[in-house]
Amino acid sequence: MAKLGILISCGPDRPAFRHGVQLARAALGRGVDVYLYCLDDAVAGVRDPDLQGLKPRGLKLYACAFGAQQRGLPVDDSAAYAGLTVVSDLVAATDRFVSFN
Amino acid sequence: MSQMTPTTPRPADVKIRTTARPLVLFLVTSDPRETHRPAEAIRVAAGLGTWKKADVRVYLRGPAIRALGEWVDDLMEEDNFTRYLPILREWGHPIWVQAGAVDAADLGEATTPYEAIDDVELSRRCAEASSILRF
Repeated sequence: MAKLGILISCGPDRPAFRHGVQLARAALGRGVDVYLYCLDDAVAGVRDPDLQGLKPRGLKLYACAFGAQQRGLPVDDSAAYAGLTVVSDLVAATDRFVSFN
Repeated sequence: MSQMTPTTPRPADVKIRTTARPLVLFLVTSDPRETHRPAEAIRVAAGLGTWKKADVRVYLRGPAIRALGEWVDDLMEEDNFTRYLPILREWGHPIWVQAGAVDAADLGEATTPYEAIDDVELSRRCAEASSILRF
């Protein structure tokens, strides 16, 4: 199965955030294994309903633990909160790694 | 010691990518006096490259070049520059900056070696990158 890595670094109020979510949805619909990492301002969008709605469809959702801590956001089961080592793994292990900033 | 070199046309067969690892290019164009994003870009670049699973390069354009300056006190989250730019320096690759950018005149003694490249060369290097992250 093809693997797609998506990094989003802009907030949920930005069009690029939506584009990243839409790409994830489209890829999941085509049977792609999708890994999505929320970095920087995108951490505030982890609980976005559209994004959370993709988890039951197989989306592997990660978020920057440091970014959440800096913004006073709760680190809970809304995503797998992790460090940059996960981003490094995704860059190396996915067939395509794209970013929305 | 900082180093600024004019862009030298490279033969087409000279590749920026030197290993089989993915090449991740950070394009930093935002103003570090107004937003934290250049500082975040440097933090992430250092954190990503440290694991040696990808080759990381950084390009600074316009006001983002100020991140390399001798004085960064007026930049947002300036600690990121003093803490993480030395990590990038250890990798032995210069930071790429926009050739002819007016902001380069205000750097003082730049803290990190850099290479000025024009937009044609930037395009070529972008084409070699596996992924581009813009901040």
